Amino acid sequence: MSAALFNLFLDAIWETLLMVGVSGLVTLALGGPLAVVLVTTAPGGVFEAKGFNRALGAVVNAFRSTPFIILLVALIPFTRLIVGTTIGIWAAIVPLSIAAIPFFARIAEVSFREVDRGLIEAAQAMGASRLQIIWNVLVPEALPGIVAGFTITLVSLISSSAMAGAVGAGGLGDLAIRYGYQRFETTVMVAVIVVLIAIVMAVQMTGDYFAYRLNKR
Amino acid sequence: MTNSAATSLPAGDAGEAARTAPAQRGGRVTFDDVGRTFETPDGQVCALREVGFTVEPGEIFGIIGRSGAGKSTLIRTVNGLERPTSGKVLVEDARGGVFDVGSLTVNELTLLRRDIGMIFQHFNLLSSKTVERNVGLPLRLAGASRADEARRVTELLALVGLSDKRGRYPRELSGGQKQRVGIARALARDPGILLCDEATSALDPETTLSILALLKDINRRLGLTIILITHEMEAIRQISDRVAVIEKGRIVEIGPVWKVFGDPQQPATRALLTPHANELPDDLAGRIAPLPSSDSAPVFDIIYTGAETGEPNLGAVFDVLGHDARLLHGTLDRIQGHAQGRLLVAAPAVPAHEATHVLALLKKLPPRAEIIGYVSGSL
Repeated sequence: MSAALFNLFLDAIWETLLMVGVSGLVTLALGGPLAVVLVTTAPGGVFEAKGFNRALGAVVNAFRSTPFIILLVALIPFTRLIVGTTIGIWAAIVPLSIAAIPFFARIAEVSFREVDRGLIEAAQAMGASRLQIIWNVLVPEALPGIVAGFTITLVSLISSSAMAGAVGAGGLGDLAIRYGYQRFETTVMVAVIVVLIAIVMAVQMTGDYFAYRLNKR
Repeated sequence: MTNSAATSLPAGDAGEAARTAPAQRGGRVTFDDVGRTFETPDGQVCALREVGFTVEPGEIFGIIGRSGAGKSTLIRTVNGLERPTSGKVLVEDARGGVFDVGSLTVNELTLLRRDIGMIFQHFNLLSSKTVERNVGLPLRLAGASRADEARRVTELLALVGLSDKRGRYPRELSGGQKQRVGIARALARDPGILLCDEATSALDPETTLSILALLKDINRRLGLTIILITHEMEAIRQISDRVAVIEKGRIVEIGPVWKVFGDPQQPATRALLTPHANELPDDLAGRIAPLPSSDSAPVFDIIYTGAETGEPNLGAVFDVLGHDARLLHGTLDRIQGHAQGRLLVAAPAVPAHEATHVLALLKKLPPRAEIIGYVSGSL
């Protein structure tokens, strides 16, 4: 690998980490609350609203069922509205987040739903408001599952980010396609794969560690 | 001691400081013709109908019934977890304030719930929080400071005997210890009423007794009203003052525990009591015939309901039955100071044709008695 190629490689790692990191944070910030809304408005939830819940569920499913590469293109006008451009890293972060938010929300929703109803009843019996129930019961009890779910989301973001080359965002996946595949630079291909494996493993192990530490059940 | 602590807490609810003597602390609960129906896909299900009685301040009141009888629904109407579809549930606190639970706004209900503690069959502790944080949760919800919370938690853990478990997580505790945490949590805001929802049903017999003893102790020391629902006779027998028997959503029998248990009037009550009633041992049952024969002796079933004055007088019984009367089987138990039980006595000295006459004499004693058959062979 030449020095120039090596620099491209370092840039690509940074681009991937940036894309995954920022869209991961956005996903956490928006997908978490979305999961709370999904679970609390569901039948039997503390903010039960069946019609709203069904409608929201349908929207979430629509985003979940659209392949990412199509979402990437379809969201171009929206991306322009949010970040002012349709190419580059920031242009990729918007569709990455939009795809990951419903994904993470569904996973987190499952963790929230697994919180024992008896705990919610106990909190109600001690005079907790509905927001207090969410914050003092649902979130802490579901946290280990949510951390595990967020780990899965990050890994899936890493894999989606490989498609970000389609909007000129660069990243490891883009490098592998343009150099490793199209220019037959096998070394680049192998290096990218090795680095991706390392990143995914690091993410997974960190996530597992925290999920384990948080789980007091 | 818990009382002085309550007054030092921030006045999350305005009258908290007004409470003084523990004796006047308990709340009163009045069920006024309460009904509750549920809409299900299979039509209306009536969980409660025409329930009307009052639980007095400082009383331990047991509600017993089979599963599905409506007791869970009933106890949940007290703190508004269930709303009656007809009738009213009135909760009167120690300061004389009366709340019509069904008509409270969300905020009023929150305030009321802070004066009503509740413990559960499956404890319902937060698995992610330590004992300390679990017990302090009601205080945090009401906006207590960290320092106040810590101080109160120390008192509560001492009260339930778990001071050394402060930093543990619920999964590290036994069932009995978990329920103690539940009790400490329920008492955190110094409530006037404690609701116990099958609180000992998930515990082994020994732990059950220790939890019941703790509840009784709390009732005595703090003067709070305890309402407990259960399907276990033992829980009622050990600590309750009065008991109501619920069957298919109706209260079928109500009264002091010794009275209801010693002399059950309703089939539902008898069914609940059956495991405790002394069935005839098989060998004896096989020897008792419905009709007399030449060498048989009548068997008298003498029942002490606890309503008799004084202790069972055996001498008087033998005066009537003759002094060679034999005790075949029997139990005697004391509930709330009343002797209750049943004796099976064979009386060879009583000829078959005089049996009914002797029975009439026996009934004047005044134990309740029946002739259940005739036993033959050597006694």
